[in-house]
Amino acid sequence: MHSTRHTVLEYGKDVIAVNPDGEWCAYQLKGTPGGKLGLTEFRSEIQPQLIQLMSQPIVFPGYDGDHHRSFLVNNGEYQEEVIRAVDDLNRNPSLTSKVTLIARGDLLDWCKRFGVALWPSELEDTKALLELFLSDPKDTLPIEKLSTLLEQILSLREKDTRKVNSQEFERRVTSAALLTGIATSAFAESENHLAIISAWTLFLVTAIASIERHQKRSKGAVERTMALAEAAIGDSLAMLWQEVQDKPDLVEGSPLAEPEVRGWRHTTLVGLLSTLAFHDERACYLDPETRKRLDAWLRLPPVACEIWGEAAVAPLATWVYWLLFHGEQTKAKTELLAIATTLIERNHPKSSSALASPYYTWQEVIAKIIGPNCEGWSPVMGKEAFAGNSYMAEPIFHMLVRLGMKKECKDLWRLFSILGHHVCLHDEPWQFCVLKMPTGANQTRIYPATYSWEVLQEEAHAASPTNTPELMHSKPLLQSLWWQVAPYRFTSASSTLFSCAMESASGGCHSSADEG
Amino acid sequence: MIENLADEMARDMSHHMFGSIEKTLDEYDQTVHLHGQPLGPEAVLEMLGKMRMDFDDAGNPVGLSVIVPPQLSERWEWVVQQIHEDPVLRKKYDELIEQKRGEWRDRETARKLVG
Repeated sequence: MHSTRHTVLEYGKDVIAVNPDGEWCAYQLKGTPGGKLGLTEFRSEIQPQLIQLMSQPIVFPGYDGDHHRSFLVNNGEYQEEVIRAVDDLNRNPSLTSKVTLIARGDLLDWCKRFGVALWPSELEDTKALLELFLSDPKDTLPIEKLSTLLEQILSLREKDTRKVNSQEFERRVTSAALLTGIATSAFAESENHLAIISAWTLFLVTAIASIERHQKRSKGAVERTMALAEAAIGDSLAMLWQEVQDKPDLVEGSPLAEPEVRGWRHTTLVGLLSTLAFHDERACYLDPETRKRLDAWLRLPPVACEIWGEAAVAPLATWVYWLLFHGEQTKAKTELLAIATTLIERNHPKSSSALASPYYTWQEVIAKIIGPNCEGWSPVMGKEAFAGNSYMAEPIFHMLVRLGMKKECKDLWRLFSILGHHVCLHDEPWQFCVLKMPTGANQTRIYPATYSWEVLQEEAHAASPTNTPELMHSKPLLQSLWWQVAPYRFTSASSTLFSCAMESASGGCHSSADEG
Repeated sequence: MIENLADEMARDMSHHMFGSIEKTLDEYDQTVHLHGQPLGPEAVLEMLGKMRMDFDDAGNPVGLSVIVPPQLSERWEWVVQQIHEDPVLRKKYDELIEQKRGEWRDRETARKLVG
């Protein structure tokens, strides 16, 4: 029924559920992984909450306030003194609800009993799982490893041609969610919100890819699992915003690395918090005061945002969309023009500081910049040249066109039209939702020197919904998160679809009339 | 053995790439076939005539690359020497470059968003 969000919606219990007999159950969750919960910790930290759990009725829509069962769940064991202390509490007549202890042994026993149905039996690459589980939880998520695992379980590899029935499909989706949670548990414990947001976003889009490929519907367990993943993203976004408020100078980790990291961190935050603000409008994650602060922060974000590579355009575009849909047309236009100008000028054919394509992460870009000078060579990028090419210039230019910024487009046309504009075209709609598409074509477009504004307008407004899975159309916010996980999916087509979806949701049109 | 395999792979990739380019260029009449005749200056000038050329701010051609198989490299050098040293060929070459420069100027002057 409910799992705690670290937001305004607190019901005093971590999990609220209704068992098959119709009884309401409230759970308090505690973590002592691999250890034993001792009496001192129990008395100081847990007992007060437990008394609250036992004595206070569940406050939740639909609960009649009559009776509920209480559970304390611990992923470690309990010392005997704690068991005795809980027994004393249960004998207290003033506490109406009695508590049941669930320990690590119970959890393992259930896992063993439901193993086949719970754990993904399709998992072949246990090495990738271990590497992911043991990777540095303070670092960015090794997204490719998780993607490999999810694609195995969700039957998305080229060799996965066997038909999957609905029951098996449901099990695969729930297993994939369980695996995502377990594989990223160390990141969650380290409060690495970016990694958790990335992981659940990847899970959701991979599940959508599988739904599309296997022609299934999002219902029953699949729908509920996806809703849980969306809630996990919402929680992490809200916690990220809390951390930003707690650390207004936005410094994290070693201060020596700060000058290099700051631009990337600010740009990433602007994108994610714009998505949170969009998300909050639909799901009410934040209390009014926090919402107001976020709104103010997004209207005047930190000035250290940096276009460190073409991949940085995706979070900034999300922010520009937020400005557009929140009455900041002038600011949005100014920022968009600045992004377009930077992008087009930096990737000019003669540029010696061209931005790396969106297929390269910040770590890869920074490794080349601060690494040993090997005459432009780097281990990941080799000697790949980016000058004269762009993946992001066209979608950004189309945003300018949709906003009717004709004069600015005319001024930029000379530089824009000499670039080779790239886009990766997938063969099947579901392939839009995987990190690396198995088949497709890289299209390069060279615009004619002379081009018509009217034709450009038509192109900028043309949305091709058949190019992406149908389920993705109803989830524009997931779309914006997907751009931030896989920036090369920020294409002209997906940007136009996002814009249309947001316009429909807001009931208005944000494209300006021709200013001619 | 690994080196042989790598060479073979590189050769296959190169054949595939040039095969694809040739197919596309044939479709758009952008190839010059010598029909068994040796490579000569006239064929090179014809090739240059079919190409779109860009120029730098000083008016010099930019972005031209020539790929010739090893067995043709000596012949290629001879052809280039002929074009530069034979007055008739040199005149033809200069006229061709001037024509291309004019086309480039027209193209860049017309580089605009209209409407």
